[in-house]
Amino acid sequence: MAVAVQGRRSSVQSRRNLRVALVFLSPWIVGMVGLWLIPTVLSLYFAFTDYTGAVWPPHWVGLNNFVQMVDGTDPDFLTAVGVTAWWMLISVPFGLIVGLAIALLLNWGVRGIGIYRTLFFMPSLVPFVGSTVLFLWLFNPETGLVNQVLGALHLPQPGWFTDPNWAKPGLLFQSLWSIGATIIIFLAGLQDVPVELHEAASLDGAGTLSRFWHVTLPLLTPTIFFNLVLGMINAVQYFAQAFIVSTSPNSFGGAGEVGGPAGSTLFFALHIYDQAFQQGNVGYSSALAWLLVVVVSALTLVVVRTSGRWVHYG
Amino acid sequence: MVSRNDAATTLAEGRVQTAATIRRAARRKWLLSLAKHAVLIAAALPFVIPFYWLLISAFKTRPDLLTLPPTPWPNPWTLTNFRVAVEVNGFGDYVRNTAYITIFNVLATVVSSAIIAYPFARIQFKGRDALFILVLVTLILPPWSTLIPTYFLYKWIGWLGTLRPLTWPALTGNSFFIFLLRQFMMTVPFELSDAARIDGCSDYGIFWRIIVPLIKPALATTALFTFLWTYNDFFNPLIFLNDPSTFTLSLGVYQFVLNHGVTDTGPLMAYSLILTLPPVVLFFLTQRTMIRGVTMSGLKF
Repeated sequence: MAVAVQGRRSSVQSRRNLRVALVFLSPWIVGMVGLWLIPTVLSLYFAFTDYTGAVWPPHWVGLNNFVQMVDGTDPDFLTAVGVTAWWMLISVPFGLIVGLAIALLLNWGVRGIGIYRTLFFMPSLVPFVGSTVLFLWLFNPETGLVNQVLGALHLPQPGWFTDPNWAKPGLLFQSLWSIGATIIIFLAGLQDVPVELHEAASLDGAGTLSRFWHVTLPLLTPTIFFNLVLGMINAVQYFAQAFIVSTSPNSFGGAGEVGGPAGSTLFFALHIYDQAFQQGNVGYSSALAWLLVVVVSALTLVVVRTSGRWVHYG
Repeated sequence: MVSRNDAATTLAEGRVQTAATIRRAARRKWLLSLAKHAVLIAAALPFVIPFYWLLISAFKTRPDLLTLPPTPWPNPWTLTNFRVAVEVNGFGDYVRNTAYITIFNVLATVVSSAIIAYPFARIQFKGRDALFILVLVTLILPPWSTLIPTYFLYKWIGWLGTLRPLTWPALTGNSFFIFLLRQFMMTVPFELSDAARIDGCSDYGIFWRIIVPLIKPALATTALFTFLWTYNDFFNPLIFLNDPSTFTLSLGVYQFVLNHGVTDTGPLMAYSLILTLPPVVLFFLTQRTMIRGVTMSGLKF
């Protein structure tokens, strides 16, 4: 009898809990349905149609959109994959190395470190439209500061954002300039490395380099791993800066076309944007978007899965 | 570091330090720190020079800007660029829109994310874990999975051309902050809420009187980063705002680039400097919260 009452009371309690929880969750449920579930289903549906944004209902084409990526119907597809792969393989390691190197300098513990930290961090506060526009000006082939300095040193003066070979390196400099957050994360990781370990290592005769290699680096792997995942996820979806420099007019040192010059900054996300919102190939661009989603999710999973082999968790 | 270790070795060997060795050690330490400062300054230059160039270019006259080789200092100083920038078509609209969108997002995200995080952290209900996995899924999946149809949904319900696509969604919470606030709410001792419950306090009262006051630092982080993300955002305004009267400052700077040439670099730099001012001021006001936010959860902007 007592057990039954207890049971009924607890079921009353759990129903009450569910009711209260649903009240708290109601704004989230609206968002999940309206801004996530419906768009996700629609997006999957679009990927198998030739929807152009005009005629409803869209015409079902099966796997045709995915075939078109590789059968040469869309020659820009491979360009976009190549540009994005370049960016991932170059910008992510560069970001990690430069971020870590500066964090190591900041970890020296000299006086006035707060000032240096602020100097390195400040650029990342510039909204990236502002910093991209600034780099357009700095890298202007004729009047920009960079080429003027290179000229004074009798070095070659590239056309930067107007030259297919130099547009991506230009973007790389811009992205390294706003690396402040990565530096701060590495610095926090370095400050967590116990001083005793370094002292013990140097008593055993380990030099600065060997201490870095055998003490600092292993203890820092969780931080490196974290920045790596974040960096890769961001690199695959890289958009705004490339969009701004490539669509800026030639007279300002830009390329004047989405992904230009000559497709050298046609990042995958730019290609999706161009197909969806400028060419009106909504179905095809949805298929591209899903490819991106699969790649991002796979990357995240791969890195998380393999992390056990080389990450030291304190 | 090296000198301290050397000193330790010296002590370990039990030698008596004479005044001369102490003086020599101090001298070496001073030289070493000088070298370290030199390296730090050299490393900081590539970060400082572009910022400096933005600053002085905004105050240079047009002929001064196009002088070759470039001059390191404005001669003469001018405020004309700022006047031109603020008199550009739509500048007032852009400021108003940006202020409205940013304030709306900060308030809506803080309130809704906290409300949504509460049951995930503090109420036992059926299906909680499954629903929370959904939060994580929406957090991991890139925005590209929903972006294109969302555009058409807004078009069909007549939201394109208004500011609603950039404001109303904030009312449904942000997955990242739901996750973050849940973590914080779970650290509040359950004894506190149990005691309040015995005193007749409902979940609504517990949320408002116990949880919210105790997670204020996390709410501040949420507000700060929502501000920075919304203010800096270029992508969503580019896609969802198609009426120039609804543009934000970021879009305004981009429009300026499209409509002008290199001869208008001065006003463009002034415009970019105006755009940069709010985040920089905010940084100096909230330095600790911002740095903690970055280190704690890897927030970037």
